[in-house]
Amino acid sequence: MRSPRRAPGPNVAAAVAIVAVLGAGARPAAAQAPDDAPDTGPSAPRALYVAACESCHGTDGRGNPRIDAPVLAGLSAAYLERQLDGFRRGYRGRHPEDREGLEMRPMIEGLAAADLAAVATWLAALSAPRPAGDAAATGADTPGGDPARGQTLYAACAACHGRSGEGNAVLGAPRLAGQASWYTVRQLRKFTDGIRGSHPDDTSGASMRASVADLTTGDAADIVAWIETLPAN
Amino acid sequence: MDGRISRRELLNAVGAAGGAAAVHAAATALGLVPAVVRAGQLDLRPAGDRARHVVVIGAGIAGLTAAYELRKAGHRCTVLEASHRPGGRSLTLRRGDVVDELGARQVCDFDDEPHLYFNAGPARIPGTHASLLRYCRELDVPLEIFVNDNRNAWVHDDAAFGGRPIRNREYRTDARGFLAELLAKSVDPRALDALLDGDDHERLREFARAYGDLDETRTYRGSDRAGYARGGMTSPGVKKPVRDFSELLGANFWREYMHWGELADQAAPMLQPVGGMDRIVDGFMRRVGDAVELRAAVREIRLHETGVEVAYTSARGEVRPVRADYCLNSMPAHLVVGLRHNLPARYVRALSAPGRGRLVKLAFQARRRFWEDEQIYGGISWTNQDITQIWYPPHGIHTGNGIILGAYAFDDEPGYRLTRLSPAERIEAALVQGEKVHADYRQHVGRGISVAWYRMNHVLGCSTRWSDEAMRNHFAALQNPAGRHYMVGDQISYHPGWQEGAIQSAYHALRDIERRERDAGTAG
Repeated sequence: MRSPRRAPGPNVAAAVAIVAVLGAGARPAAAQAPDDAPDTGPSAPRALYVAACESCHGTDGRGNPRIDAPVLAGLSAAYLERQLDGFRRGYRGRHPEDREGLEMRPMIEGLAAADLAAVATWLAALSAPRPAGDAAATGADTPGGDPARGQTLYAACAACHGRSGEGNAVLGAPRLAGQASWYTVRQLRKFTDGIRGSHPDDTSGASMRASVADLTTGDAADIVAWIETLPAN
Repeated sequence: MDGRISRRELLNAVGAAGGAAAVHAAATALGLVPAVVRAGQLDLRPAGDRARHVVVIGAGIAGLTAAYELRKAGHRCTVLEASHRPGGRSLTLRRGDVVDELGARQVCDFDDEPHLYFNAGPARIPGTHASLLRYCRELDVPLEIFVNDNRNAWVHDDAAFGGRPIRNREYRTDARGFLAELLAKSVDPRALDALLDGDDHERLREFARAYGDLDETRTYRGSDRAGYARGGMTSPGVKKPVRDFSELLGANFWREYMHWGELADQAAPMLQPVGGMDRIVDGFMRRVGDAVELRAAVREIRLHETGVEVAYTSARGEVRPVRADYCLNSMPAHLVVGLRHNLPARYVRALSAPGRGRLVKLAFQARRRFWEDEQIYGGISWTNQDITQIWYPPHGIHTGNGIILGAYAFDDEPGYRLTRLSPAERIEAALVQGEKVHADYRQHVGRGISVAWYRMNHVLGCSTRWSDEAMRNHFAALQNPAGRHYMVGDQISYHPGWQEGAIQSAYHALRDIERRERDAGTAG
């Protein structure tokens, strides 16, 4: 007595098949879809995202603090690809104290670079949700810093990350506005503790680490409190 | 009888008038038979011309229960299941089945035989789980006895007995003997006068003697309850030497697992479906499978005044809307907060409150049933190592092979340590740790597979960890609906990790919907 054989594979396999079917002719995601009217047409990158990323990172890359998954929507494709490459090559998600990075790292294996690039491009075109409200609602540990002091401190960050936290493609600095505050705080701590940015292959991480070497926990909270006030998009 | 009617006479009279059921009811009322606490059954009234459309998120036990009951009452149902299979955590693995772990997909390579299955989620049913058992009857799912507590299985602790396993019966017999002797010799009549009268003092000493199998001087000198060291059939039985009590205390076994079989939902006898726990899922799917869409990943939930709109990504990568009068949502609460939604902030805070458990189960196909050579038939060996326990299958006895549970870690730290390993590393860890319980373990077991629920796609945590504080502040908010959206699943019960909790959560929501519909009907 056997039950009928179950479907052969998980969603990733199905999504890869969809990508193959839709191929290069798939409709690209609309740029800057507003939060309340996301692009919902069939798309190969979305199918891949749903299969490989959505469980943790949430609908359209909005992030999920309960899974320690950051906002991905609105980050530049170049930054996303570089981080994904870091996970693949091992300069992210290998440090034994990087609990969240260690959870992310296995996800990268078995995914083709071209597919990752397509997903990154798709995510970059999405608009970030309003993370400040989200964080409050989910009870994620918000820094509770002083935004006025943070604004002053942020001047040093603005050189790379832009005055409005919009990021800088040339310098490889990611967008900060729109990112979940709990995530930014945690990454700052990882940089200052050397959990991130100390691998020899992580050149941009190394320059970030050098920039925040003297940052105190209070400084980080204040800076992130200021970033929270910047418009997400 | 002093002229009053006796209780027996009364019952006879009631029986003549109302039959056996009336006798039982009357006897219960008189306190003659214990009132059985009936887990609330559900009896939805026929929908008639007020049929409603309900969208159910998740085809686990809660979702399937809801779909089955709603259909039976004449309502329409759409069940959206994100995974490639129904059942949720009621997962039974057989040859060829996929374990959809994030970043570590595994395929089960057991041999293809009916008894070679691994219940990677729920695996045992207590007789008190009345609703689940009723479904087994209704859905034609045959059951057999499951052996949970086995006094012949092993107790292992690195910190006791030189790290060598001893029989469960030996541990508990010596522990009881020591405690009983202590009690028998320390009964102080003056201290007990407030509690017991004089005759009871002696009875208490005798109780202790019987409890611990003490000799006539009320001294524990070992007991054949622990099993003989040798003999006992054609030559006199020789008792095992008594273990040093401080060594018994040195093993962690007494803290929890020694009393496992005393728990209301773990006590003998227990049951399992013949052929695997997912026979229950199959039974539901035979009735409501046509309403279930697989690989349908919900991405958005919108509450409206008169209903709920759910958008999902289909297996073809298309985003599709479903508009329904109500939504029953069994997604893990920690995943709902990652969706697009317009749920109230208070509700989202509550969704964020419970923690994500880190249960890990791992199973091996054994080349031979070596445990039967050790006189173990079913049950559990306990160890203080991360694998925590080894289970022996109560089915397939004396066949050539079997599936042995090589790890079931349910505490957070050991669970997380195993979760962090790759599937291959988990197998190696289970072999190394299992070898401390069974010599030659590695030679006896072969292909292995693990399920780390914290990393399972669409689940990401099991079982739900409600702290006392989270329970106090947030449980009620989740048990109540947000508009016409209801959270269900074992997570919304005081019995998380059990299928009965999932069923009762669905009943709770369905009853509330029925009440609302009745009120609306009356108002209209």
